[in-house]
Amino acid sequence: MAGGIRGGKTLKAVIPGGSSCPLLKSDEIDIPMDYDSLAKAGSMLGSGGMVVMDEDTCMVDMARRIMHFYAHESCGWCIPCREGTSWLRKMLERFHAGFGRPEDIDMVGDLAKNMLGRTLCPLGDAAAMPTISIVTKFRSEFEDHLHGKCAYKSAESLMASR
Amino acid sequence: MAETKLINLKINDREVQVPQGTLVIEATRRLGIEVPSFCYYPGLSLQAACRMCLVEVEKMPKLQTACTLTASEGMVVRSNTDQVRNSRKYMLEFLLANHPLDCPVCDKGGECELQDMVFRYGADTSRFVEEKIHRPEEKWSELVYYDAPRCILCFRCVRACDEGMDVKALGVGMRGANSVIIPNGGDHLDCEECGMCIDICPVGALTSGTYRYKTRPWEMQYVSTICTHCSNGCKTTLSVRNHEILRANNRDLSGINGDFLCVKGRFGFDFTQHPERIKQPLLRKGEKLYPVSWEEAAQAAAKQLKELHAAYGPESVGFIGSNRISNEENYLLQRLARATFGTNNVDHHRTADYTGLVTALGDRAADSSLTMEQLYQSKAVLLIGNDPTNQNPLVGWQIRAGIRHHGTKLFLLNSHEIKLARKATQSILLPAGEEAAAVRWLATGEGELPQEVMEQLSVLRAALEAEQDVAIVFGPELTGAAIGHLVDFGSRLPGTTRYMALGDYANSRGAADMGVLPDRLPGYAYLDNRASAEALENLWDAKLPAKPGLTAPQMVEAAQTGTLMALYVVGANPLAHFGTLGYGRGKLQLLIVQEMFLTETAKQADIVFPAASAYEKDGSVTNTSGEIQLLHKAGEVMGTRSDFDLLRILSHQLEKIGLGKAFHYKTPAAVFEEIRKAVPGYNVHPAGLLTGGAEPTKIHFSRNAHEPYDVPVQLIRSANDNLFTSGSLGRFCTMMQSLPEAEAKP
Repeated sequence: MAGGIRGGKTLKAVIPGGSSCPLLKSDEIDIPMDYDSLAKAGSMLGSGGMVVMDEDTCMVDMARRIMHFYAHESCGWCIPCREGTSWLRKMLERFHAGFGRPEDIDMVGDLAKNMLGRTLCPLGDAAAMPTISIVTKFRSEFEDHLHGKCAYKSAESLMASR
Repeated sequence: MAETKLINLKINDREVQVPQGTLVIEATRRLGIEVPSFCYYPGLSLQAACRMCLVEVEKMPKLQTACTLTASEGMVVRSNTDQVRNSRKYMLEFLLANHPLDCPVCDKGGECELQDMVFRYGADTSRFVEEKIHRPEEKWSELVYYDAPRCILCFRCVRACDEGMDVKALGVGMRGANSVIIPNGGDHLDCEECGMCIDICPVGALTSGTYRYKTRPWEMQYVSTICTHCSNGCKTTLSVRNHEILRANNRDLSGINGDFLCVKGRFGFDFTQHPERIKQPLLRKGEKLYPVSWEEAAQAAAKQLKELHAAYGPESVGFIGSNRISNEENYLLQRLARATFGTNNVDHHRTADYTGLVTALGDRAADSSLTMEQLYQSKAVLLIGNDPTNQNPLVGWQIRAGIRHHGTKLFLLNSHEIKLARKATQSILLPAGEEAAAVRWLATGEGELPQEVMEQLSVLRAALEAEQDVAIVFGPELTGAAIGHLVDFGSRLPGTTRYMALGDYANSRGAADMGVLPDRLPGYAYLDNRASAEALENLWDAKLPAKPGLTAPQMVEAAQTGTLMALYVVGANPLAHFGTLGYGRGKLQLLIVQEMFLTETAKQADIVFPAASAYEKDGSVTNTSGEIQLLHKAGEVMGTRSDFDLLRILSHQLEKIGLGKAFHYKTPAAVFEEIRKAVPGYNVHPAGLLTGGAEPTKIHFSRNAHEPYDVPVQLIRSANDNLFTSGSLGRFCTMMQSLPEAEAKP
């Protein structure tokens, strides 16, 4: 589709329908692009806003950037979304900067799962779902960051990307 | 009344039946099951913000907030599952992420809902290792401090200020985890300083400026008593340590006012500790007042009173009672005047024409009075004159709550623009001072009023005639004959009409009910009502005088001309309130005062007895709607004695030298037992009172053949207090007086 990945790189992951959707790995995308098929695959067609990530994308950075968005957009009405997104954003920032701890990986998923379904509006769910999918499907990238390095970005560009 | 349908549902495998429309969270409370909540607060709009009340409901896929879910037939609810427990644990963990570990320095420690919830439902460790959002504490006013990091954003304060008080001084700013509560002045509050926000805050985000860092909640005793300021009779629970009152609130929801208190009820207690409090008996020697012993003062008072009484007769002695002392004390004062001194020269500063209302209603008086609860429940309220926001805050609160909760229609007749007008269904602005004329027009169609006012009054009358039951609340603009017109008009309305006269001060109604009046006995009986007089004569073993006495203004006049020789004043300031300003004691030979402070009257006295305040004694008081409640002794100031004690002492001293009978009551409760027998309508069941409730009195009154009642207009004088003043006493409420809003009031 659309002439393949730019620069001939390999596909890593796809957000099929907007940042709220659980991500699909490259081996999960061989499905029809309709509501039912995507729901069956554990994601959603959503807004149809597709984001394609190649081998050069740091998934931890992706999680951080997505959570940054939701923490910023959170209205602040209900506790789980307001505090949850803010907490997760700080965790993921710290993690991506190389100061993560082993227990943080499970905690990210745990906190996100306990936001899910308990908020006043779906924004909390929207923040939780992609985060859960990234930390589950790309766990190895999180573990790599534990050793103090991001395989895809140098330390300077990490700071600049904030 | 329409039958409310009942709904059956199951909560945690227990059956419960609730009226249709009940929220699930209220249904759980009926079973004594706790479903925790921060943002849900009965009486305020629903939020579903804190998510603490999430429960499982069969057939609903996600957890539901019990505070917004209405119970339906056959619903099955579970609040004790692992999922629910887990949810609560995480909500608290999320909340504690940014919440500072301030407990050791936070005033709320020990009475904090977050602490309680974490102990019951939370985790025992914190996993949050990030940087907490910090903002410095802000001082919004002398009375309200805001600590943003502690705020859990439950929005109770915003709703209480907006909906409850209709002041709207608080709002929410910014977004997400950076949300903060913002005061209307940007960095400060410009409001009614009621302090509702402080007490409704579940945590220590909003704290009291006067109570900060003073003590811990478990170091204080809590005494429920009645506020000494306006006439509404709010319960105020005083927190006391070592006999000193440190704060006041009504968070225990006792009393007719729920958790409502205005700035006076909440902060107007500091007069008890004012340095100018009189703590010793004072005797005039020459130009000045000197502290003397109790023996010297009491003996001098008795001796001099007896001598003047013997020399010049009963007409030469006058007694002025108080709007703030208890029923027992007012009752004893008028007994002293009538039985011991044989005079009807007994009166008080009348702030409402209760006599007029009772006389106009006659034998319907008992069934036509309006309690504060009934005011809230009324669907149609006619408010004539007065400005409840400033003068009768609980009345304002009840009316606003009625409008908010069940669409009460408010009809306003006033010659001033008042804040409540913006909540009114119809508001008529009358020309200055024309409230009585408007009421006369409504009753008789007579009188000259501007054409457009008469048209609006016609609309008003038609609207009231279409209502089922009407509650009529009126201020001191209506006196005497005007009240007669009002009752005529009210009695012709189709449904049941109930009336509430609005006076000032905690026991104005009680003073009138107890007969501190020159022309009425306790219970408003005419002096020539032989049945009533004989009953009292038997109780007091003395003949009662038949001739009506002087009113309070007349007593002050008589002092100037020398016809009054002796004046005994209890808890009042007649030389400042009556007569022309600047009246002194004139030709009085003896002026004795029972007082807390050296007021204008006390300064000119011959003998001053140091009196205890309403917060330092037991007794009963009657609010403006006729409901009795008990006072309980909270603080104590060494050297002062209750007016009950002071009158007892005087009666004993007088009996010793041969005048009258000593009072042998051991406690105010013993006096109340007599009041229950002696004052018609006060035979209330003590159980309701003893358990902290309010009992409505049932004053009934037989008019028999007397002329239509009227009263000189200047006899009824409203205090015209606002939220920050409280007559002579309010001058010593230092905190209230110092508020910028107080200085800004005209």
